[in-house]
Amino acid sequence: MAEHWLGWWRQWSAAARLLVGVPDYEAYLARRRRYRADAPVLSRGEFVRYCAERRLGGRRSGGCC
Amino acid sequence: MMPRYKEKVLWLVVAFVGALAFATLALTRGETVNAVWLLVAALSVYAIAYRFYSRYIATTVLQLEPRRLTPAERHHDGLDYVPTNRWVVFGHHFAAIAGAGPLVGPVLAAQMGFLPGTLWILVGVMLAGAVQDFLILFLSIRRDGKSLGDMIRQEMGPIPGIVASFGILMIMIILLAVLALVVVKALTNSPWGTFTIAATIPIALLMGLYARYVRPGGIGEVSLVGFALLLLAIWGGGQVAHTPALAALFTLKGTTLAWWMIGYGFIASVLPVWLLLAPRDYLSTFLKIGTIVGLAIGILLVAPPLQMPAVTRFVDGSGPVFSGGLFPFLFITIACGAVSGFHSLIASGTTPKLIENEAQARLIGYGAMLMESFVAIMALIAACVLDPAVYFAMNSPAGLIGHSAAEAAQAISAWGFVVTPEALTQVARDVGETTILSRAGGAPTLAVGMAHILSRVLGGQEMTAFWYHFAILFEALFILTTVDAGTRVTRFMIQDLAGVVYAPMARTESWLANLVATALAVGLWGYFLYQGVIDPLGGINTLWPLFGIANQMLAGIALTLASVVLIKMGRARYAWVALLPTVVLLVVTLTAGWQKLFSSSPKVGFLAHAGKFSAALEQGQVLAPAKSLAEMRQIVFNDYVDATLTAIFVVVVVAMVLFGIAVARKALAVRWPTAKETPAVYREETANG
Repeated sequence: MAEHWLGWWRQWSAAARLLVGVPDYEAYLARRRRYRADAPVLSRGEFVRYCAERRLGGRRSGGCC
Repeated sequence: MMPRYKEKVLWLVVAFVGALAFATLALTRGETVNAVWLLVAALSVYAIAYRFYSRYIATTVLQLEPRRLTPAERHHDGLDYVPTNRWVVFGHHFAAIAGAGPLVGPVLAAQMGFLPGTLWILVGVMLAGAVQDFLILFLSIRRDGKSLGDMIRQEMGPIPGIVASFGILMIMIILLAVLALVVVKALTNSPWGTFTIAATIPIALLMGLYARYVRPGGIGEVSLVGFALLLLAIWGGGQVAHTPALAALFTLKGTTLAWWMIGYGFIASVLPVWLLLAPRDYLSTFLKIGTIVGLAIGILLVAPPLQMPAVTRFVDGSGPVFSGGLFPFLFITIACGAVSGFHSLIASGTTPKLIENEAQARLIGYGAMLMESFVAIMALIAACVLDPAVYFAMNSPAGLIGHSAAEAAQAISAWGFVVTPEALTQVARDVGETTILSRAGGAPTLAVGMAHILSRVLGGQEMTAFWYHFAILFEALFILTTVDAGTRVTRFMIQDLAGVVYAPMARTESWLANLVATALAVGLWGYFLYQGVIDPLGGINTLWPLFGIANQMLAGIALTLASVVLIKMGRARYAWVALLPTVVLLVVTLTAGWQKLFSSSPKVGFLAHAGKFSAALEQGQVLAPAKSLAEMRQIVFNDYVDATLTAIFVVVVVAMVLFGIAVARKALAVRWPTAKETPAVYREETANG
């Protein structure tokens, strides 16, 4: 039961984070390390800052209306 | 699966309920209609449009291929390309497209009554807006998530690419100016609002530092703390407004606020993103979604009657909120919610890199836009549940209704919306302000409407002032986010374009080039903002139509691209799906552009207005609202600037259409498809992503 709620919470918080353009960090780690356990990865902070820069930094025309 | 006959019965019921709602809206005269009818009519239109028209586009026109791998699957790296559940992508895409636009336009358009705006929002979204978003998203998915500009370069050639980039730059500048103006209008002489909005800056900085050094990546945590601080800031604003010494400190004139906005825009957009912009983006995004849901629930629970008539006498073009007749000006006043060119930039941004199956482009492209249209309908409702006299008091420029409640009540009563000065003052007092007169720009009207609805759900009369300032905060917050992020976008565009002429300007790692480009970006939108603030007609009157024209022209450009690509794909016989809205938008925007330039009425035409003021200037007369000859000269100059900008928009869009026709003719001359898609890779039977 606890596991069920934990999964539910993880899904919803990942969805909420994607609202502001940040994908799931754990999924990113899993993806990067699927072949090599020691593959270089961004830290959680770097990951979030990279996403913020991509979303808001302006190098790609975005903006909202 | 439902049996076929059951499904048919279901859709007949939907169609019947929708027809009933429309009949109620259209046939009720002389008494008020409940807002719920409007919601029902809208929802049934969306359901039918989604089920039938979007399916036709998905299966017949675009022939979506569920077997074909999407960019997210092909380049899956967990960071830039992430196959994601469709409902999560839907949320992301909706949050990205819904902004100030669908909230402001419908409020302004309410001057013509609720019916014209409603009809345009519904028909527009079904045949133009949602179609554009869907098509552009599809094109980008088929091209590895390329941006609109890149796709134009790729499919139409380098010169159309540069012309389009230049057009997008101009549109950005007007957008930023008009959004900044909405904030200035909402905060002028409002110590409560000004304090609350000013407080969001230290709150965001605090959140940024916390998320950087204390809990890296703790988005949910900092957002909750930030939200609590925001509520505290609203409460604090109330205290400030009630303390005369502090209130004086935060009671600012429009021009002062404009300078603060300009300075803020410059500083904010050179700071690192994580420090101020990102945390405020979290707050504004979550608050936006929450408020939209709250408003929907509020309207359903309260079921307020619409006080505004279905159609007012201002359909003839003599309205105080914006000048010009129903055609073409209604169609450019409501851009977002019906069709918005800006979405083409978002539909070719992050979203195509998240979609896990091409078939989901229908739900995300078409569906999310229907949802935004629903937001526009709610904004229209919030404006129309107010007493029309209050609506006109808030949205008419001081040049028409004067500066005092007595003058305003007299002027508005003369238009047929009888009201006493006391009633106008009482509304202001209810929301904790000294005056509500001439607060054009949509945000304050929407805020009063929302406060009207939400206070009946939660808190009652005493909470009206809180809800009003909550609504102002919610709008100002995401407008400031857009101003900040948009200034950065503009800066890179300027560097890109300037780099063509003078190469060192394109060096984005050079501090000098960055500062010059940022100053230029801020200076450009700042110029229009300042012009709007000192404009005696209230600024929104002049700038919103310019923005509407620009935004609809961008939609015209995006749809031209979509039409061209459909033809290049060998689907010419289905190209009408894109051509129909293209033609409508061209007719609307070119007519509006023409009238803005050459109308003989000084209220509509920039040149006629300039002519009237130059003629007076030659005789040494000072025409109201100018107070000196220097101001007269300024007005004439601004008119010429606005006229030039309109002319540039017209030239850009006509050029793009001509390029489009040339490319389409070449494509029609050969028998094979010439669209440049990324070659298809297909899914294995067993694997699923």
